[in-house]
Formats: sequence, C-alpha cells, structure tokens
Amino acid sequence: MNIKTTTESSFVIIKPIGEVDAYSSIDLDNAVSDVVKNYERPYIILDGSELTYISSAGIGVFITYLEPIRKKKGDLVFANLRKEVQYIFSVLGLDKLVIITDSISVAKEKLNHVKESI
Amino acid sequence: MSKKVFSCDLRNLSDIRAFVAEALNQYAIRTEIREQLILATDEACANTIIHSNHCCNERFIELSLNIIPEQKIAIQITDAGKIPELPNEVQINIQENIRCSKKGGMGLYLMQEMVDQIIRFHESGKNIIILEKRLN
Repeated sequence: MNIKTTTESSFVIIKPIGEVDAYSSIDLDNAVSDVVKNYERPYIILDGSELTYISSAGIGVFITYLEPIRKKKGDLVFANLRKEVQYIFSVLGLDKLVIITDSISVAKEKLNHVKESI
Repeated sequence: MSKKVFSCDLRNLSDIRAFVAEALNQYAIRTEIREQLILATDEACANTIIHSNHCCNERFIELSLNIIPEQKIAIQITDAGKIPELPNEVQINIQENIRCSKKGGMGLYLMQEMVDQIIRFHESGKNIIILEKRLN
C-alpha cells in the first residue's frame, strides 16, 4: 500500500493506494497523524478511489483521529469510496457519522460548510 | 480442501487474503460472499497473530478451507499460541468509539457480521477457530 498526501489550498488530500490491513494501517495512521499534528485546523479529504480493501485496523485509524480533528474545528470527509469499502463503513454504522461524497470537489464544498459554521 | 501454513507476521496478511481468494475462485461463489469471507479470515488471523502469538514469526498459523459446493464453506484457523479470551458476541457503539478514540472490538464485530457461525475451541494445545458461511 502506498499513500499520496497532497495539499490543495486549505485542504489536505490523503489517498491510500492498495489494501489497508493490520500491517499497512501503520502507514495510514502516520499519514493522518502528521496532518492532525501539523495543522491548526485539519480539513482532510480521504480519497478512496484507489483504496481496494480495508479491515478494522484501517477503520480504526479514522476512529482514532475523528474526535481530535473535530476538536480542532476541522473534519475528515471521505470521497470516491469504492463499493466494497463503503460496505464496511455501513456494517459498522460509520456511514451515518461521517460525510461521504462522490467526488473531491463535493468533499471540498462540504468542508467549506464546516469552515463557515465555525 | 486447501491448506497452507503462515508464520505469525502481519506482513503475511496480504498472502493470507490471496490464498483464501484463490481457493474460493475455484468455485462459483458470489463476489459479496467471497469478500465477506476474505475479511472475516483477515480479521481472525490478525487477532491470532497479534493477541495469541505476539507477532512472533517463529510461530505459525495453519489455514484450511473446506468447501461443500452450494452448501457451505468452513475456514479453519489453527495456532498454538496463548488461549484467547474472547466474548461469544460483540456489540459495538461506533459513536462512542469515535468519542473515546477507541478502536477495539471492531474486528471481532466484523468477523461475526461476515459469517453465519464462529466456532472456537482449544484442543491438544491448539486454538481452533472455524468460520462458517452457508451458500444456500
């Protein structure tokens, strides 16, 4: 699994490429943790277009950082999740508690709403 | 029956998933069921590697798949590590998990949701987990 992290204006886009399991989740954890530590207000988009598999360890990374991100008045929004990954979100009920969008541009709009609501 | 032994190294999880996928691909099994079984096996093996064998790559887990076409699939995971203390049924409150930044319990919950039955027992110094899924 590889991770590409890019910055577009005030948004950080994290794109995992491949499969996230109990071994590779460490890299995802480091990527998310770096943004949470280094940004005063982390506005993160998780681009799932090339995330082909996720186990509970990968979901655990999002669970670990959602509250710290929101405490900093930021948010973590999911874009382009594949059907099989979105299925895991729905089994756990996570789809009801986070924003999931079909594109990066809609994810940015949603994060702009978060910014405006502060 | 397909059978393979893996060392207790988390790096082997991708090979474990590939082994299960390859065994299931020999049969006409719906994609959804195949993905559920791969996830359940991954979660069970990750738990066994971490909690029963402390990621010691000199220890081993054995995976065996028994498929009765159009009836059921049984995936057995055997190891000789520490006996796991696991609840029979897991409930999770994901909102509470987020509030407390707590990720525990999700793997066991996913396992239980992905298959029809989980059988666990200890026999002759071995821990055995059987994940069963009906096909009809």
